Order: sequence, then structure tokens, then C-alpha cells
Amino acid sequence: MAKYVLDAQNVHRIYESAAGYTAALRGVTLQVPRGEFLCVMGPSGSGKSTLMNILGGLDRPTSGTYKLEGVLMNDLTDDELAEMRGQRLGFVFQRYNLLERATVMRNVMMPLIYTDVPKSERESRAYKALRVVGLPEDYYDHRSNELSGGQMQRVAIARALVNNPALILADEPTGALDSATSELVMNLFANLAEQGKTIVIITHDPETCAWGDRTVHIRDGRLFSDEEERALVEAALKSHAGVQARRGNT
Amino acid sequence: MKPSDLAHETWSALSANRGRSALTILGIVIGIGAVITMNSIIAGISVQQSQMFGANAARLITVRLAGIDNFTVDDMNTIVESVPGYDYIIPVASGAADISTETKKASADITGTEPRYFDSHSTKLVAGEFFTERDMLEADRVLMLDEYGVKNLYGSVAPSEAVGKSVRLGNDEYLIKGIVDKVNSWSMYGDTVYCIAPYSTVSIRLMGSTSIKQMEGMTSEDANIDVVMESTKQYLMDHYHLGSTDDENASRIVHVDSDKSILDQVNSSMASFQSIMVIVSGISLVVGGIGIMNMMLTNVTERIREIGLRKALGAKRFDITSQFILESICLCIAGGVFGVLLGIGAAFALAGPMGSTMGVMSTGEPLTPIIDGSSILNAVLVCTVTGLVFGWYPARRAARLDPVESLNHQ
Repeated sequence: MAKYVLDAQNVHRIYESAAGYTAALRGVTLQVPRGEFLCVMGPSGSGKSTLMNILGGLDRPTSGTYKLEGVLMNDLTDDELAEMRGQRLGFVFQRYNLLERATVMRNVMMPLIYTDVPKSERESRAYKALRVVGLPEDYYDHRSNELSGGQMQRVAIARALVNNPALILADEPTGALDSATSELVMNLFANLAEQGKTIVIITHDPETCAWGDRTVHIRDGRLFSDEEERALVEAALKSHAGVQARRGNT
Repeated sequence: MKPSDLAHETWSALSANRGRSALTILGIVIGIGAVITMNSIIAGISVQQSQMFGANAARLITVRLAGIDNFTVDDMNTIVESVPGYDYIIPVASGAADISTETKKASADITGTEPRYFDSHSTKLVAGEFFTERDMLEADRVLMLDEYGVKNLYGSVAPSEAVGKSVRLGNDEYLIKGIVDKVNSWSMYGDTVYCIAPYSTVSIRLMGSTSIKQMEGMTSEDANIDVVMESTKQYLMDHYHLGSTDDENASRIVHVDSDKSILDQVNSSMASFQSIMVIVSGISLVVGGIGIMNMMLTNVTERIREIGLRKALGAKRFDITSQFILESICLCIAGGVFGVLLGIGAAFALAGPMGSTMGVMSTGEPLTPIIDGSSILNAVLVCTVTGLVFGWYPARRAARLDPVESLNHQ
């Protein structure tokens, strides 16, 4: 078994467009051991989503390597990537991405229809996942558009858990929720982390990151540790203070 | 993805947009409906015509002799011996006279022939009995009427009650020996009474001539009727030194034809009509298919986020392709099923008016459309292929969507 669930080395992602080349990720190196609750924090346009796409096997690095549970994702075909996503990854999106026309149960079971999990086992797994997220059983036959935002996000988390993934990737999971519901959802992630789940949350919100074991910062496509980020901020503040002082003297 | 999951996902997607799905399949419904309606009506007409001409129509040859006198039964029998392919030949005489009962008088059209005529024309006995060889030999004054004739002469009397009654035909009294279902196709029209009597009775007592002017030959089951017709004509031309069969004058003297040529002509007209309908329906199906493709493309655009989500959750290209193709096939098959039902309904509704518009000689029975199982099967097959062809491009487009762009689609 690989030491790290997620092992990205010197990952670059460069987009080509009519306007030229844009580097969204510049030499990102990130290792996440099993059971870690990691938070990747950064402002809008910093490369968060690009990183999430690559970690989630939805996109491939332009250069560098990315391994998920020891499997080199760079060389996989589209269908092999789909299989990896279906079997080893669980996604939680900011806008829940539930199928409105399907019931809660069908939404939760959706990843399993693309696997070999027998039908008889799917329901029991979905029940189990829904119990973990604490959604009352009365809602299991409801359509997803009949639920509140918090309930929908719980269903989305249950859907991410149902295939027992090696890694749960959450993109701004509290972005569409009020603060009370956000706390409930983050509490849920914290409980999952306590149970040994490996979780990577990508957010711009420092309060969300307070729930994690570790936070890395992303800025202009580069990753920084907490300490490096703090040093950068302090240096920026000093520089700012110097500029203000010079303005005061003149 | 298991077939049952595929079916569930397809049903779920289609039923979420019932109204639009229903409108989309209209083209297919109309196309298939038109094919089923026309096929059923044409099959009904064909069956009705076969019934009208009789089961043996395709084996029957009619020979008319316009300029040969003293053509006897012996001459007729030499044709059977000389021209291979005949089971038998019978003489047929036609005459007209007044027919009257104590209360009613009408014009009568009399066919004089042999008892085998009933067999070759698949004539069914309704009451009484057929006249016999003995009646033939003795030129008995007996005749057969049909139900329309009975009605003409006696009003609403049961056919069996007419049997044994006497009617006056020309100057003689005739005994009604039996009632048949139908003497010929014109029986039900007008006031003329059609009857069949022994050949000798008609030729001697009514026509005053024993020379055979018309014959009907029943060919063997395995005989090529066209060859037998040609051989018969050639034989008569040679025998009576009438020259070549191409000679127009000679052809007027000896005229050989058969109902098969009429049937072939009718069937050929029906086949042409059917071909036109197939082309029109084909165009309608293509238009319907384009409607399906358009709807599926709209579907793909509207469901881009769903496609992205499915891909993120592990759906492979094949899963997405098969889901969208199955949706398209199901739409087309649903169109086909409704089309078949509409077609059957329309066939029964239009059978009467269309039957008469198409100039069909009626058998007196209303035209009954024939619903052919193979047409229904073909309709379903055509729909499946239409769904496959017109669903392929949208499905391929869906399967090739980039998951990241799809998930970010607004």
C-alpha cells in the first residue's frame, strides 16, 4: 500500500488559448497521508479549482506526476480515469450537484451504478452512508429538490462516501450554506476524518480550514505551507508599512 | 453499467420531460401510423379481391371465340388433350331473358355452364343443391340463384324457401334448384337477377345454338398459366388456320385471357401505391428522426452538468453514449408503438371511404383492413434503427464532453 493517498510532484498545468499560455499551477508538490484532513486555501483565481480537477482525476497535469494510492494518473486513459474516480474518489461540490429528478436514495447510489457492486448491496451501502451523514430516514424517498441546502449537502457527502473512497475531495462545501449549516457540515467532515477518512477540502474560507489537520495555501498556482504563508504576509505587511511611512514623511 | 440501471436512468430522464418527449415523437407517430394504415388497407383490399375472384382465380383461363362456328364439346376436349397444363375445360354461355314470378318481373342474366364451374369459381351453396351432370345431359329447366336474386324476386324470403319454387325464364318455367352465395361481382347492384343454369339448357333453350363461344379452363396447380394461355392461343390459331398470334385480326377471333392478369395488374398497382407510401413514410421518418436528434441535442446541452457529474462519479464514455442512444431509441420505439396503434385505428376508420375511393370492386362486405404482424415488427425495427441513427451523434457529443467544462457549465 502506498505511503501517501495522494502524491503530486512538481505538477504544472498550463492552458493554451488564442491569447497565449496561462500557467494555472506552477510546480505544485503535495503529499497527503492516509487519514489526513487537509485544507487547501486560496483566493479566487489562485488555481484551487485546477488543483481540485487534477487531484480528482478530472484533468491531467501538463507536466509533473500525480499518483493516487500509488497509481500514476498521468498515463491513464479517459475510461481508466473514470474508473479511478468511480472507485477511489468521492466528490463534494459547492452546488451539491444532485439530480433533481432522482430521489435521495438514487442520488446516493449513483456512483455505484458505474461499478460492479451488486444491486442488493447498493441499497444497504446507501442507507449506511445516509445514516453516517445523519439524514433522517423520512427523506430517503424525497426528491433532492425537496430538501434544504444543508440536507442536500449531506446527501452529496453520503454520495461521496458510498463507494468507500480512498480520498474525499470537497470543493467549497460550505460555499452555499449559512454559517449554522456550514458548521454542521464541517462537523460531519471532522467526524469522517476521525473515522480515518482522507479528506481534502478546497476553499477560500479560513473558518473552514480551522477544522482541518493541516492547511496549505495556494497563490498564483503555487503551494505554501502555513509558515511560508505567514512569512509572506508579514513581509508584505512590513513593506506596506514602509510605504505608508515614506508617504507620511513626504 | 447494468442494463437494468440503464433502463431506469433512461426512463427517469424521459419521464422528467414527458410533454417535450411526446411532441418530439409526433413525426415518428405519423410516419409509422401512415405505413401501418396503408399496409393494412392495401392488404385488406388484396384479400378482398382474392375472395372476389375466388381462390382459383389465378388458375383460370377464359377463351372467347368470336368468329368460329360449330365449336363443339368434342373440339373443346381436344384442347385439353393437345395443350398440356389443363385439368379441365368447361363451356360457358351467357344469355339474357326476362325472369318473373307471380308477383315480380325482372331482367335476368344467365350463365350456362357445367357443375365444375361451381368448383372453379369457389361458389358456395347456401340452400338446395347444385345442378348435376344429369341436368346438363337432359338440358333440364333448372337454375341457381344467389341471395341477391332471391331478394330481388321474393323480397325478404329465406333462401331455403326459394328452393323448389318455379320462375318463368323466357317462355319456359324453370325450377330453382339451389341458392348460392354469389353468382358474380355485380349481383348486388341494380335489379338484374343473375342466375346459373346447365350449359345445354342455356345454349339450346335460350340461345338456340350449341356452338361454344366461351370456355373456361382450369389449369393444373403446377402449370405456368402464361405458357398454357399462349399454347392455347397458338393451338386454336393453328387448328383454325388463323395465322400468327401477333395478327391483330386473329386475336379478335380467339381471345385468351385470365383473371390472373387482372389480379397481377391490381397487385402491381397496389405494390406501386405501397412503394409510394413507403417513400412518403420514409421521408416522414427522416423528418421525425431529425426532430428526435434536435431534441436529443437540446437534451445534451441542458444536461451538460449532469453529464459532467456522471463522469465525475465514474461514468465511462460507453455509459454516457449508451444512455443517450437508449433514450433516443426509446423515444422512437414509443413513437412507433403509438404510430402502430394510431395506424390500426386509422385503418379501421378509413377502410370504408378509402376502399371506395380507390375504386375497389366490393364483395358486398365492408373492407376489413388486415393487420400484419410483420408490418408491426418492421415498424419497431425501423424505429430502433431510426433511434440508433439519429441518437448516435448527440450521444457521441455527450460522451465526448470534458468533465471539468461540463461541471462548470452554467
